[in-house]
Amino acid sequence: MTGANGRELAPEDVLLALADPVRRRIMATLVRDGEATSTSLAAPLPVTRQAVAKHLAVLERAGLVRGRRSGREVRYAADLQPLRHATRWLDTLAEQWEGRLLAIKALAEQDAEPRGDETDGP
Amino acid sequence: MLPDDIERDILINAPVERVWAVLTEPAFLGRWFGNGDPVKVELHPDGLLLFDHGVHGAIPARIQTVDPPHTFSWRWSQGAAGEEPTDANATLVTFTLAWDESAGGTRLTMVESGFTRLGLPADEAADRHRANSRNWSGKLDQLREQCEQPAA
Repeated sequence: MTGANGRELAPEDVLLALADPVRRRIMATLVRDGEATSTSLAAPLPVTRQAVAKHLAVLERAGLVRGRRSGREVRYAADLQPLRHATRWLDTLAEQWEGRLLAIKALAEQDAEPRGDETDGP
Repeated sequence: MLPDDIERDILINAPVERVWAVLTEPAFLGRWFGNGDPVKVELHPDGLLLFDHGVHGAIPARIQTVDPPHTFSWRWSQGAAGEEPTDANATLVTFTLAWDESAGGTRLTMVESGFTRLGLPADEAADRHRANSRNWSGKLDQLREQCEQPAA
């Protein structure tokens, strides 16, 4: 998956973009209402239009919104594909941990005699 | 579940000391993590733990806490293979071991934290962590649910 500037997108770009509460509200609004401009997005938010424009730029770099010029304004729409990608990435990590914990359990429960011959500790 | 932290726990029918050995001894580490060969471990704070991730290459982890037989933690990079952990690229993996009297076994808890700070320079990451650590959990899940509902 690549972002707006052709760079390879990493899941952390998406997580980082969504780590901000204002950006999460912007995303929720875009998904609910469809397209919006930075001016209309700023109206219900406690931040300026300029601040919203900066947040939109972060979201756009993460591939989560796309801007489309319409006359004198830019209209933004949400793209949820990168969000699903990040979700899958974290789900995969969590599954790996489940597998490792099961392996630890199996090793600890088999042949549970104390081992006195290992001296790796300090 | 999609919080900033991944948290998993498991009940193990063995003494805490035994689980600690499986967690930290090179031969055991290599069997539950890695390719089966013993893992290189310097079992002290800031010591190196070298995991073989197969096709992903080797991942060097830096040990943060060694408190036998209760707490074992390390930091590792989520970036390219071979990369040492830094404040901008690393998550923290913490194992906590506790005897569960009622279950008669060891409760092993694993928390990997710091996903929402990845990519931030160190000072921003610290700020972000303070600002975010209380309210992030579950937010992305909520957002995803909201996002995936059909428009009203």
